[in-house]
Amino acid sequence: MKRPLALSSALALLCSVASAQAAPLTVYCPMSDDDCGSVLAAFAADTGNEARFVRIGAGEILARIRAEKANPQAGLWLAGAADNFIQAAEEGLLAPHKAAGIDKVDPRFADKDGAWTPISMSPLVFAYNADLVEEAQAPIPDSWTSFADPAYQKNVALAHAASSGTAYVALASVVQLSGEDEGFQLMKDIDKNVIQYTRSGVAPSRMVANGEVALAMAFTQDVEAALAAGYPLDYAFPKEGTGFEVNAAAAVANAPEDQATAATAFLDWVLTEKGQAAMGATFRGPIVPGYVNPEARIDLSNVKLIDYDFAWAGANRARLLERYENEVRHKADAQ
Amino acid sequence: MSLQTDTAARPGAGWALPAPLRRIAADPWLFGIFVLLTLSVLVFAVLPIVNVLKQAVWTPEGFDLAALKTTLAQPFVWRALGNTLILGATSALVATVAGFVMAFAVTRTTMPGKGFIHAAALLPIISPPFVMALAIVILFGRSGLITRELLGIRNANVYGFHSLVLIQSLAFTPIAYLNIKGMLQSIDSALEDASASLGGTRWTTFRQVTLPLVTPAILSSILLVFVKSVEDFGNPMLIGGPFSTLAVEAYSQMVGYFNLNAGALLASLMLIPSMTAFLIHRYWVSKKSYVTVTGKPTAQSIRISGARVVLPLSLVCYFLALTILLFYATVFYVSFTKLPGVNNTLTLDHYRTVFTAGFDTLGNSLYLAGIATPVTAIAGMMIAYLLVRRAFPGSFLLRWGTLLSFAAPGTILGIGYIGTFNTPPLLLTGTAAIIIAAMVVKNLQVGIEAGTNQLQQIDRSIEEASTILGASSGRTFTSVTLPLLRPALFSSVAYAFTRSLTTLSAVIFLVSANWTLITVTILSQVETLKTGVAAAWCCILVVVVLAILALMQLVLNRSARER
Repeated sequence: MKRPLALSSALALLCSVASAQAAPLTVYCPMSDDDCGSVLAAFAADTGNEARFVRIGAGEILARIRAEKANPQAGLWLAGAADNFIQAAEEGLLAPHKAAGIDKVDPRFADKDGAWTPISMSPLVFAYNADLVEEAQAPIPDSWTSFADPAYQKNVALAHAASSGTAYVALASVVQLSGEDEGFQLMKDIDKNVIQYTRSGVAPSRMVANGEVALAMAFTQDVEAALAAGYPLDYAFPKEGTGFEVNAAAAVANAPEDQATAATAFLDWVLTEKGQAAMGATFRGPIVPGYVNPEARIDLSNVKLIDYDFAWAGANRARLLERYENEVRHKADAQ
Repeated sequence: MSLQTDTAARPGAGWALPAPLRRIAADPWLFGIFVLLTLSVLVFAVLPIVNVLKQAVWTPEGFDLAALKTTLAQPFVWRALGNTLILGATSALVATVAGFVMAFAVTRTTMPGKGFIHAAALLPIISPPFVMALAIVILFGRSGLITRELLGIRNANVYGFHSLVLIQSLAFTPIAYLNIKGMLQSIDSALEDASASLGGTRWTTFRQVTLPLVTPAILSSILLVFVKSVEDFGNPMLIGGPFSTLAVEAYSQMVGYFNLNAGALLASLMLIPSMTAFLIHRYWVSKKSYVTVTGKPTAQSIRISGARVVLPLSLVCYFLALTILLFYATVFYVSFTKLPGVNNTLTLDHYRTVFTAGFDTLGNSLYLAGIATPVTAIAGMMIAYLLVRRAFPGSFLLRWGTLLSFAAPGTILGIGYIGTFNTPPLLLTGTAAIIIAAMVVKNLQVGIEAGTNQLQQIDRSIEEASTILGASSGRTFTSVTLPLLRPALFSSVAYAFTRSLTTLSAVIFLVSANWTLITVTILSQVETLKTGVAAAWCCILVVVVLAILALMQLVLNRSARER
């Protein structure tokens, strides 16, 4: 029973390899399987460009593209925080392309050389578990300082700022809001409440959804996904204003020619109305203003955003992370 | 080839040369196999790892020791090293004791329900990554089924050292169990019988005969579990809490901070404890003789039946087995639960999702692991044979090369593989071959250890008899040595197959659009909140693997009976 199954699927695979001679676009994509699949299906339906994806985390994608530099295996890197792309561009791993609709995007959110293309925008949001908040007799979170409230002792989960875009945006937002020294002081206070630092940025809000911790930070699409799955999750925005992530995509440098052509076609397409709708269907906010996902529960149009300077955040990433590592994470462990 | 070595080396080495050269001349075929295996190990294990590790001191600008100093000056590096050592040592001891108790009870006593204990002891090999860690959170977390629902504890803290020891001990017990059981089974029990008939009490026999004879297996279990614990990355990342290990720090330096220098350095630090443990182990074992298989007829008859011994042993075994089952039952339960912990309605939805998505990735995994397994097992046995029985010049390359690949964290191996096999003449990225190679290399050492332990028990004179009777050394290996290695062969086949199926950290860098694997699918589901679907995949995986292992055991038993 098992063996024919394995054999037939192996055969099916061989066939699919044989028919893959038309060389569909190969994409590295860190979004969920469903999201990667739906966006690429919309791209194929709209433009006729077939694409296949490998789903791995954004940090792993960068490590992989770097290791494959001499002979790139993928044409397109779809989605991930712009920081990762800024780093990749600095290492010469990306093929610049000025996407057709880029003039519709706020220039603050775009790379001036077109090394990467912004595709969507996600604000940070606080996710909390109302039952646990009540149990801890903690106030409903409404400010960045809520995370440092002693009432949330061992009741907060954060992601590693180094491995997660979510956590890095949070760090950069706090620093930009209140100045560097005060910002780090706040992170140190928050650290006292943190029970676990996770690798992935989605994990802390998942822990809130499962009732493991009361409070976490997340991007809005992660909270939407949890709500759509039926988890009893509550969310709130900080009154000071929140930070956000610009999601990007880019063509990989030195990819084979047919891969490069299809990748640039995607970059042009993703800024069209249909492309933005496909991105919006994954609950990520539009980068070209206008599209609203009718199924979204979080109203993104009225969110108070800080004047998040993410070029600065990208340029100072290594320095901020090192300071964070030394002053917050490891200092705290030693105490 | 041999001539070249001859002329090149003669002037310096003088009298030491003839012996190894004679050995080569006596067995040109065996030497050929040795060269082939050594070259493969150098290319597929050593080269990729060295390619990554050299970045610790080798920046794009050239040789650079300054970066090394900065990294080593940071206290977190040393704390992570200390944590890694403590965790490794604790898990190794706990897992080996648990494995020994179960192996002893199964092979030497009349404990009832042996089949059950055996199955439960083997189950944790089939632990897809992250799943045990998820189960422990569901059981013992803040909203845990046991901590909150059963015991009413509100502030349970599952994150930290204690959970890591539990998870790692559970996950690695099968390594110890298989290793020790294989050895206990092949000990000629005449020795134990002799001790008993000479008036030795059961305790004396155990302490002075049985225990010393299985020492190699006990030591190698400690070694293997220690090394596995040191390189374990998923569990400390998921439930380590503030307890950070080198594997986690190396990963975040490489993938998070984009700091290849520091990452490579931390990864090199991980190799030191593992290599040291290996050296100590070698030194210890090589000082004694463990030969009990001498070719004289043996009977596996000894059975301890007194309730005073069997009862406590059984209780411990059943407790261990039930703990293991509890974890799997949790995964099973989650696979049928809508939103575990939140909405506990039973549902078939997750299985529906799985069946709709299809079994392509599972098929891939089975297919690739199916190719990797015989290669791993046979190469493992051959290498064990070459290392224990033949000392060709250059054996140390083979020994240390395989160990390096085992001790190196999967992430390093994965990154090394894409870097090394991405350009001609070694162009392998995107193919099935690169994944198979990684699976073989990652699991080879367990086969070598199993084979080495077994060989140390077998008297050389059996093989000498075969050679004296005119058999070639190849024939001796296939018709005499290999059949004697059967128990070790089965355990390394079982281990290699299941580990190849459940491996993640190395292959995550190697999967391609054509060749993606079931573990990567499970990870995606875990990362995107679909715990139920991930659990459903795990259950299917466990059932499939169990079915295949049962089939393999059946075939092996039948072929044994036919002889």
